[in-house]
Amino acid sequence: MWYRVRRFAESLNWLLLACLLLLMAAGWGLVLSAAMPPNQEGPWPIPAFAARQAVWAMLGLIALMAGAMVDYHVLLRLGPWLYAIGLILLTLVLGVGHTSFGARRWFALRGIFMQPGEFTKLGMLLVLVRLAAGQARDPDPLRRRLFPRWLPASLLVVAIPVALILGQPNLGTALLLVLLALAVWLVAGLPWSLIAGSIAAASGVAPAVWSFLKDYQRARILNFLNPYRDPLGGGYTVIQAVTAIGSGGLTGRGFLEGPQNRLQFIPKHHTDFIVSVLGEEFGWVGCLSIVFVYLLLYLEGLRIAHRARDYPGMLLAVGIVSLLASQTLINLGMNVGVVPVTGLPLPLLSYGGSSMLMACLLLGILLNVGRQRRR
Amino acid sequence: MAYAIGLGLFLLLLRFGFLQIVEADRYRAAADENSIRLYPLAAPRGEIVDRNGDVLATSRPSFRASLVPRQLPEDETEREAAVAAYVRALDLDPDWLAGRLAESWETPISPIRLAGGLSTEMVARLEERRRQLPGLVIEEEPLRVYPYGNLAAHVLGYTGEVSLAELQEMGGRYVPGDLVGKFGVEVTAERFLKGDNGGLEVEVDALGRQVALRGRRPPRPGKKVVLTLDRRLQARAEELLGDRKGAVIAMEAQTGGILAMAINSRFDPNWFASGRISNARWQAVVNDPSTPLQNRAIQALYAPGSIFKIVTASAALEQGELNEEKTYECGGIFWIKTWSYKCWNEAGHGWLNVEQAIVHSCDIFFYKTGISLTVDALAKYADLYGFGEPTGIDLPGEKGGHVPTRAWKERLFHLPWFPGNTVQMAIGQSYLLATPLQLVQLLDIVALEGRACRPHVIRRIEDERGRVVQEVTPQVSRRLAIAPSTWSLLKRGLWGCVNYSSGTGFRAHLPRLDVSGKTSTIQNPQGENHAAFACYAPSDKPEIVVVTFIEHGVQGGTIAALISRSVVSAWDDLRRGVEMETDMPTEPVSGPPRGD
Repeated sequence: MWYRVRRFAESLNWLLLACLLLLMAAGWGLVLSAAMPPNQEGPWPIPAFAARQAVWAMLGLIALMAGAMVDYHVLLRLGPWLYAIGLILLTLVLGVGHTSFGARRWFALRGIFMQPGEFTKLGMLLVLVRLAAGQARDPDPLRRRLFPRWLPASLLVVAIPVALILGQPNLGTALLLVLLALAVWLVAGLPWSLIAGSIAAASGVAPAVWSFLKDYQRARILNFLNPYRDPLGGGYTVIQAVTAIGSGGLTGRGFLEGPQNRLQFIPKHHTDFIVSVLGEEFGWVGCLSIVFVYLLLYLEGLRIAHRARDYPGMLLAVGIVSLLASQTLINLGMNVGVVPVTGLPLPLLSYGGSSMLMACLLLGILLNVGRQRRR
Repeated sequence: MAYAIGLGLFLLLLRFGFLQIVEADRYRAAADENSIRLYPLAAPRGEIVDRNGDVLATSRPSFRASLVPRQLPEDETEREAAVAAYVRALDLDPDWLAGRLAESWETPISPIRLAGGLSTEMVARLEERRRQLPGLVIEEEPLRVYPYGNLAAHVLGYTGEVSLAELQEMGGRYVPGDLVGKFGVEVTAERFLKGDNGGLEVEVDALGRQVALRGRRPPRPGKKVVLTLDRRLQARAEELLGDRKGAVIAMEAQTGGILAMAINSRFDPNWFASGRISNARWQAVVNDPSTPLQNRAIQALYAPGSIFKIVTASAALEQGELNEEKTYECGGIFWIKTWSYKCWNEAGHGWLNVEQAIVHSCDIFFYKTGISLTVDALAKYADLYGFGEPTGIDLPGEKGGHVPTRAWKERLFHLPWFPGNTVQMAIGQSYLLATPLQLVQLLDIVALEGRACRPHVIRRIEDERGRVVQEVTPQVSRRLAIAPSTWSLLKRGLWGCVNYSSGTGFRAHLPRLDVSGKTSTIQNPQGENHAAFACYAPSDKPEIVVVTFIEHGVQGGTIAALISRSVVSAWDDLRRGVEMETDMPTEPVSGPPRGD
């Protein structure tokens, strides 16, 4: 027994694990700071959000271990089922979901909200990997490169959840799913030129898409281009977040000392805008450290992909890293006002159960891919 | 892939660095401004008291209700419901509130003042409904109170919320929501009445809720303004004036201090006291045809009428056109070529000297005197007596009236000055225009034999501990170099006018006090003639000047004389410390006409 535990522990990628734990701890501190009532002096009593986040972190670690222990090949076989369940939940949430900030994204279960969009990511990733890796290779090399056999099915697999999520509406998660699919396809052999061409074509039809966008989505894009267009409406959050980050300066105002954060000038500062708390209270040094840890985490993830035992494992690892990395980039970008506000949490740092469990599970699977190389 | 992630994160780090190192100071300043706010603590306005310390205007603690726009619900229908709840709870004008909310988008966390002067019961009722009123802020605010209601309303004036233009003009001492004088003494003594606002330096959250108190400066109340008015005499004068349109002014002859200034009025400064008068009431006041907001004593212009004969007489006496003995004959009618000018007494007065002409207010005598003088001499003496120029009383909006000249008429009408104009001007008609206060000044000059004291209502300013900050000393505003013999002749005429039973002002006669005065009946093409009576008392050593002006009062010798008499009598009663007579004079229905 002890031997098996030791072998399991030795097989883990400890650098990746250390980064993850570091980010979790930092995130918990920031949520604590964000959730404290404005007139409370010290961290006691622990605010409810911080206490819950601690529970999520513990559950996340369990999910991580579970992901690390279950062979990813088993998961790949279960993929279509997960995907189907995800689609059913997505359909249901459109009907009975809880509405918040004008979007139906949550299931309310005994006061705890669940976002099925998060779980769809995993199912879709698994199905995409299976499709790209599982089918026989096309004998014609040119067709294999430009139009592989798995592409039509894969396009459909991506299109259905993206359409459902856009219906919620949740622009950010839909964008994330598209980015995830593109990363997997790219690694699976779809040429750059094709992807670049499709993006160019997409921008060609952008004016037509504009007319289908909802007013709030148009407003978000316009507000992103100029947040001061509506400083107290749509652009308010970005302005306040940028102000908070900028006012932090080089070394920040100190833990629990950021007025923008503590006085609740930033809506959603414990979830999507947690970085504004980091920037205000720990300054550029704090941001630099956290970004460095993320970089380390993702580079280590790509190293695992590089050394993966087989082709599906490699695709899976790349998919996981690209999913988490693009989420990180989008979230950080929207905090500093260079990406539109899309409502994506920062993996491991932001408050939120679904996001935390999902990130941990994905990293667990990544650990599992890493473990199998040594067998 | 690694390069893509690395590059993305590197670019983000650059952006972080730009915000946090290059532009850090800018954002630091923006963040501090976000969270620290100064709340003014409104200082109570100073009191206004009469010469005996009776409080005419004061400040009482009350509450104001304001609304923080950002705390309204974001949802459209909920928001409308909340706005409707406010309209109902505070009886607001929905359009006004919608306008203020639209204006407030720039400053969504600074409160909009909805209503002031709320009692504790009102506040309790609002608190009960707080759940339907998101963003409601209740703050303490001193309320302007005029304990005697509309007593001396035109002298005291009223206050209102300071306007944006006034804020820019007056700068630092005012903040939005402050009260500022809009009329009367509230305006002229504004810089004393206004206290120094205190302030709270408060750290607030994004919704403007107080989180921590950083500092407090207590407000300093405004100074106390002591008026020259006597509340009791003012009340009596207003009572005597009753519903008649016009003005009653009583002034201390030796100092120029106004003892009473009664304007018939139907406005109560308390209406304006809560800062925002209701729209309907404001419309009613502004559109009232009787112009209740006009201070007729200093803002209404009338022809002075026969009282002006004093000016004509002194001009003629000084120019040598008249002397004590010179007489003219009054045959009841006076001809210039084919134009006829009648005396009020169409039977004629016979031969009169100047003293008798003043006593009987003979028109023909002064027509002839005016012709001998010409308009230039009349205009010159009118100027000397202060016509055509404000007296300089310390109330806002005083008018100066008008003294016509040849040049003025030619410029305006392109017509020469006719002898008929001179005839009319000699008895105070024609194009002459004066305020009732200028008649007070005229009588004061005669009473003091060539000196006029600047009329004033503010006697002194005291601070909160009763120390005198500023004392208003009587000022001689004009001096006339006229021979003593002229004064004594004029004074004899004025004495006779009241004290001879045949004088036009006999109804102003008082048995125990020697009154001298002059009647005036002003021809009014729009209706009944206006009536005025101007007098001073006691005749030998004048202490009080009283002028009564009644629009459509028919004859100066009737009700105007009776009111003046009662005011002088009341003043005398007050002076001697005996109980004031309170009987009301009635319009004489019979008796000989008392002329003009």
